Amino acid sequence: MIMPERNVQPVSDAVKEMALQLEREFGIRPLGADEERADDAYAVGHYTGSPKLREC
Amino acid sequence: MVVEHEAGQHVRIFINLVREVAALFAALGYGIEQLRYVFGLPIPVPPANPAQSLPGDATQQLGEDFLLTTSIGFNQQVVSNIDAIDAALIGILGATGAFAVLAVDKIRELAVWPRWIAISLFGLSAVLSFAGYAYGFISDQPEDVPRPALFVPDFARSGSKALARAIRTAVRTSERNMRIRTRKRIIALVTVALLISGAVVITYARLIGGAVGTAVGEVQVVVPS
Repeated sequence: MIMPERNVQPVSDAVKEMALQLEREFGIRPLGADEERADDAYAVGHYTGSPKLREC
Repeated sequence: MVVEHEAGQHVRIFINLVREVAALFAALGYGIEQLRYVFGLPIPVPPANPAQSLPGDATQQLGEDFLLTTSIGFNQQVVSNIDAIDAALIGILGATGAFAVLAVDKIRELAVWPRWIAISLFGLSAVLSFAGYAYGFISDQPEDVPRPALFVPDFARSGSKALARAIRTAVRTSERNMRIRTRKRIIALVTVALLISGAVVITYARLIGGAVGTAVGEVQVVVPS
């Protein structure tokens, strides 16, 4: 079960379920407890739409 | 001929009277305010509506999502500018081609040196506009932030960590995109300058008689038939 941090606004169960579905659908590696994405992981190319990093 | 009913005339007169009186009161109010201004008297200011005023510490209402929205919005604006410059570069490329096709006869009639200068300017303009458009594809590609397929699951898992990462990525990406925008703008300006210069060379060379059969600076005499 996805547990958000205590200091963030709570995410509803529907959003958590949707997030799990997205991870499965796009093959995204789930983050661990103290894990973070690399820099520029959220950036995508404007022309090609391809992610800048292929780490996920 | 239209005959208006007497009651209708009275209503019309009454409405006009009300309108004139209202305008008179409005003018009086404005005139009093102007007189206060002329004589240096204090102008009364209506009290602020407490419902519309901000609380003492407005920053308490601004959260991390405000930072994310601001940085993403700025990045989107820069990327939109880049799109506009790309469209302009394609337009300049098309204009150069069209001008070269339409003016091919004029260019061919030019003497050797003006002809090659004009061809070189048009060629440089076309090549540079294409290079400016392809610049983002080949080396520095503008970037959008965040990628929702990655950001949404991360936010559901780690919350503020994902939010902070997205904000940082948006800020860094917007800085890179601004550099790309500046370079593309410079390229677009240079291509326009080259295109205009080519047209000026053709026009000026023909004006001074730099066409085939005449030397540059020589007056071309046209004998009417």
